[in-house]
Amino acid sequence: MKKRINTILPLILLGITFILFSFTKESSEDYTTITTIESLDIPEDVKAIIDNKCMGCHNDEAKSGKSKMKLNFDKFTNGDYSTGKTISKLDKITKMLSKDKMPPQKFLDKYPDKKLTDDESKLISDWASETSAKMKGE
Amino acid sequence: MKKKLKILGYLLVVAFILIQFYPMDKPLVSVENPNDLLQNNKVQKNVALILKSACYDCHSNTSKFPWYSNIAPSKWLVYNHINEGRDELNFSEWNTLEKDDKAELLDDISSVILDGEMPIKGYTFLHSEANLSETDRKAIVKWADRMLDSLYE
Repeated sequence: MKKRINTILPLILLGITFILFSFTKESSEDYTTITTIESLDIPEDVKAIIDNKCMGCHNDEAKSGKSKMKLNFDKFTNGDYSTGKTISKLDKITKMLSKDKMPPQKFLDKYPDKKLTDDESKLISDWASETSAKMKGE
Repeated sequence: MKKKLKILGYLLVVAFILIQFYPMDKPLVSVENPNDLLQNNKVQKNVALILKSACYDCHSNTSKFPWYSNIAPSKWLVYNHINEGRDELNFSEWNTLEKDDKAELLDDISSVILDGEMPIKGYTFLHSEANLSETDRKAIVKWADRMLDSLYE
């Protein structure tokens, strides 16, 4: 009996540890071919950057549900987002860009040419913050 | 071979006991939360219930600690998840947030519930009540989207 416990106990402990640590999940981002924004209320210069560097993941047909869910420029421009949604998405764009979080580093490792230059980043974030402020009636 | 296994077993037991002494602060719990979302806003009952049972363990100051949350190594995971969860969103401090921050969080809630990112798998594995049905998810998303819009009306 004692012998059995001696073998079983460590196994149980190992099992518990294994189960607990197996919870962390890795998410993989997919990259699909670039589509363009159809309807426009984004200024041309801003739109060109978005088309080139953001739309790969943030569009209706994007494979990665996560990036599409968080921000979808298609919905953004064809009026699928409510006013409140639009404001919060715009604010998030400004925030993400100020922290240099988009495009994500993992993505840039694969596609280094998608990195936003300082000028491009400023152009987008100025547009986002101005548009959001206007919508808030500031 | 058998002897080796035995030694390994003993080592594991000793390690298990030793890691219990690794110090880690238990996340604070408070009973009175005057700034709590549910206390200050009209949230329909079904949504409030889901939030309480599926989110509040990590996203509020009213976390409940099951037995395994007091034993390392599971303790480390639980404490970390609670600290991280509160850091991202703490419903107990909802009313101290700026309008724009509320808006962004509501938008986050809507997307992570819709795409199933939340509640995390490790949590739903041990808390079946947090296994949200399609109807539950829709209810949360609808509530979050409406509340977000009401902020800017």
